[in-house]
Amino acid sequence: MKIIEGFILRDIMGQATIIGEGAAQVDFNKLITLNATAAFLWRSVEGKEFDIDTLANLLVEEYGISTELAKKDAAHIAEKWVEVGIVK
Amino acid sequence: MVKSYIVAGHSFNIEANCDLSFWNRIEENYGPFETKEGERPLFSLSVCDSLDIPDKKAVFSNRDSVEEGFITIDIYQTGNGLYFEFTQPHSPQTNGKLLINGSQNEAKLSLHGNMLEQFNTLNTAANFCFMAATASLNTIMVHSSTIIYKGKAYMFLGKSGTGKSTHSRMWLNSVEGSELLNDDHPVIRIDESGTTVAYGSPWSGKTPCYKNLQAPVGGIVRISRAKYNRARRLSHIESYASLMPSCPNLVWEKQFAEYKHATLQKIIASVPCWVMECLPNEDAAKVCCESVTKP
Repeated sequence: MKIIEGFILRDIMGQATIIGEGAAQVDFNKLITLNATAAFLWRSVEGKEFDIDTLANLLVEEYGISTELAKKDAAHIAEKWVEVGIVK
Repeated sequence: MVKSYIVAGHSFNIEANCDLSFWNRIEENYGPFETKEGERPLFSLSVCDSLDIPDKKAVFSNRDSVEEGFITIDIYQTGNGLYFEFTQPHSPQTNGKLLINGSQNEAKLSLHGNMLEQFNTLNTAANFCFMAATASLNTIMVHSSTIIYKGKAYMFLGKSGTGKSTHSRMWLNSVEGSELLNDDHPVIRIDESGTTVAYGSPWSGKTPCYKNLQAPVGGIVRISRAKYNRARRLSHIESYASLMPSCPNLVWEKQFAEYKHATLQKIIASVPCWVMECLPNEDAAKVCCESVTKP
């Protein structure tokens, strides 16, 4: 997976938010707010290829949770990102 | 001939060797903003007979999304800055070629077509030059119909056809003391004290309302059609989401996206934003006025 070009994480009054800004996203008139965990993952994979294992490993390292739980959470987040069209 | 103008406190020049009737047409929109030739304008827009374009790479076009009756715009990046091609509705040819240099302080424009097409193209070109030159200066254009009431500006947002202008008209009809500032593209500038101020501009769409006036912004209100009249205050995120699509800027260029983000943050931190779910009637203006003008 990879973040689709033109989507960028910004801080809006303290809230981590994904905004579509590139030429390809000029007509993307939505904002997607991220919680702290999702924002951490997003920042970690910006500009890189990644998969669910990448995200799960990041969660294990950052939050010290079990691999099993991390995989479940990572899969959930990745699915959401794909669903709203900011990752493919 | 060169003329100097000031919009939202930003000065610029328009230079053209064209006949008097064309300058008279320019005067209609830009006359109220004319000033004595300043020492150093922020940018100069020169109309020339032809334009040599270096190698160009397409970055943006509205060809697939342009609505009936609106201008088609193709934008390219070149080694010498941004290059624009403008085509007016129903025109068989490109009506304008505009090259804005990398530091956004000089622009060259060649014009083609009949006088109306040439004027409309010049007007759009000046609008883009202004946008590019002022983006880093706490300034942003807002697609809005804006009124002034009791010394404050209230800006109505919405997609074309939602009823921004209609809502303004309802205020003018039913709220005594309200006055139209601009019906299409007023300018917001955040002053040194952090106050968000709305300014009239030469860009007012189909309504000839070119006022050189300014007022601190009292509220920014997105108009949304409904079967009732109700105003709701927006959260910060909702405010940002409301303003973002209504502030045209060159956001596909990273640097301009940064400027826009910085300016929007300052606006939403200091100005109350609302959504007005409403009917196109005078009661809507009264309900809106009661909600948004409360101190």
